[in-house]
Amino acid sequence: MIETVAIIGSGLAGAAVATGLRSLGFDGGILLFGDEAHHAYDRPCLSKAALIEGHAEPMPLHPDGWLERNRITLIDEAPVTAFDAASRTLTIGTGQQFTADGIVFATGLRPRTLGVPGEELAGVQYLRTWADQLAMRDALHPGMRLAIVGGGLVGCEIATTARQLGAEVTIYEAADELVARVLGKVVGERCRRNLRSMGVDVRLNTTISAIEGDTAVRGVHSRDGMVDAVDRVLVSIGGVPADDLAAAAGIECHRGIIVDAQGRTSHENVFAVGDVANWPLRDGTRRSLETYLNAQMQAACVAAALVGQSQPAPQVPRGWTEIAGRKIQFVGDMAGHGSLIVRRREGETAHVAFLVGDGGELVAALAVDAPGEFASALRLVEGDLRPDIAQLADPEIALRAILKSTRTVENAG
Amino acid sequence: MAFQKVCEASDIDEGESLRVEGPQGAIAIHHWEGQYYATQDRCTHDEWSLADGYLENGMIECTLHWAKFCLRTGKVKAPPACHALKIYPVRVNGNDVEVDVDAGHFAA
Repeated sequence: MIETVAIIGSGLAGAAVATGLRSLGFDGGILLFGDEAHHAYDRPCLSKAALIEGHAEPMPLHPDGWLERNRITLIDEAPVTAFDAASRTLTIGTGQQFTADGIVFATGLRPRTLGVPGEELAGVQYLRTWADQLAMRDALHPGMRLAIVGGGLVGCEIATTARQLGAEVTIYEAADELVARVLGKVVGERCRRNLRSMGVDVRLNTTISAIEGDTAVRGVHSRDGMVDAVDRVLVSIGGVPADDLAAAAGIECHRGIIVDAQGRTSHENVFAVGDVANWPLRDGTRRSLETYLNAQMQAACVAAALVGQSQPAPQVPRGWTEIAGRKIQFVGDMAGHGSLIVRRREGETAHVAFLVGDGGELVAALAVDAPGEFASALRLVEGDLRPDIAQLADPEIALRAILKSTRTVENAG
Repeated sequence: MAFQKVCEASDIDEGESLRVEGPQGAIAIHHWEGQYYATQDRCTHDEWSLADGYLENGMIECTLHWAKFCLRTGKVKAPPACHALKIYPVRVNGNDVEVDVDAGHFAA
């Protein structure tokens, strides 16, 4: 019987476990450990609206009084520094100790570092936290030169935002296409063209060998021998699951804390959720998902497990991004194997694409500027439904109608 | 306080929503399981029309970032939204859907 739950990490995943516990009627104590000045705020907007609109405060995930109404004890005076798995005891930086029956790791990711000379210089930064966003906002102004190392989602989002604010932007990407790992090469190529037409200098197959400067950054050296003068460097080459505390306590970790489809770690009553969790996927693989929606779905699962309900949830990755003025949403692995079906009306940029596997299964879907259609696309993919492929390819047949008829057929079958 | 016709019942299929203009801003009329509901049209998280949303389990899901709101109370059921929607009194009079367009409010 679990009477007290300690959640390490007060971001979206951790906060969602707390909310989930209360909505399931859990009446015990909830301790929420945070290590930032602000808890449970919206991170996706940090690379977009927060910079453009100049938010004065982080956008909270909950209205005022959320902690009190849900009887959550927030402990944020010092980060958790040690965890003993046998006694389920947490120690924070002040030396104070807490014991709980159930432990949830929601420690997220830390930015992957570049590992080149000069990365410690002032003006080299990451973007994960509100404080990072403030530093970026201070630096961005018309004409300043921003080097973005890593052309993934965050790199391309910041490139878009920085151009909108008048900065001179260069993206250095080690791979042969932008955002290809998450969105696939077809979309990657289109993002690259759109970013270039906004004036972003995109360099593919390019890694950085050194960052130059005395105390502050002055330039970047790329391995192809180029030296570019810059005022600021954003390192956005992904994240590393913050699993050190769990690993040190003997919990099985490999690229994150290894969990089953309900968030259970190798230790009884110890769970992991969100970006730190290496969670099983529906396609049989497993990894840390790094998406907002999957963090919430996992949190609902972990909350259920803590109150003794079983609802395992192998994940289908789902996310969104905004690059070069386009709203892009995706579900499943667009870089996976299959044939591409594109629904697009003549002359329109808005479209929905499906990746269809050899057996007719929907591996993934991606929408550009078509959120209404995507709502049905994601239900087709997440529901593992098998619509008629000829209908799917016809942009004149609404996806909502296809979803409805496919559900009717499958229910009847 | 006055109900006025905003559309005909047959204008909105079951499971669909319709956007209408109102004096306090656009209103989304939702048709769910035989009932009509009226909420503010703009999502409280970002600039997006909830009439372009997706109805499921008595909730309207914003299709931009998938925040969810209770149709009946306007309360947030899933982030990234943080604040509730305004809701409007609605009634069906014959084939007319009528909304008190001046009476947008937050549920208690």
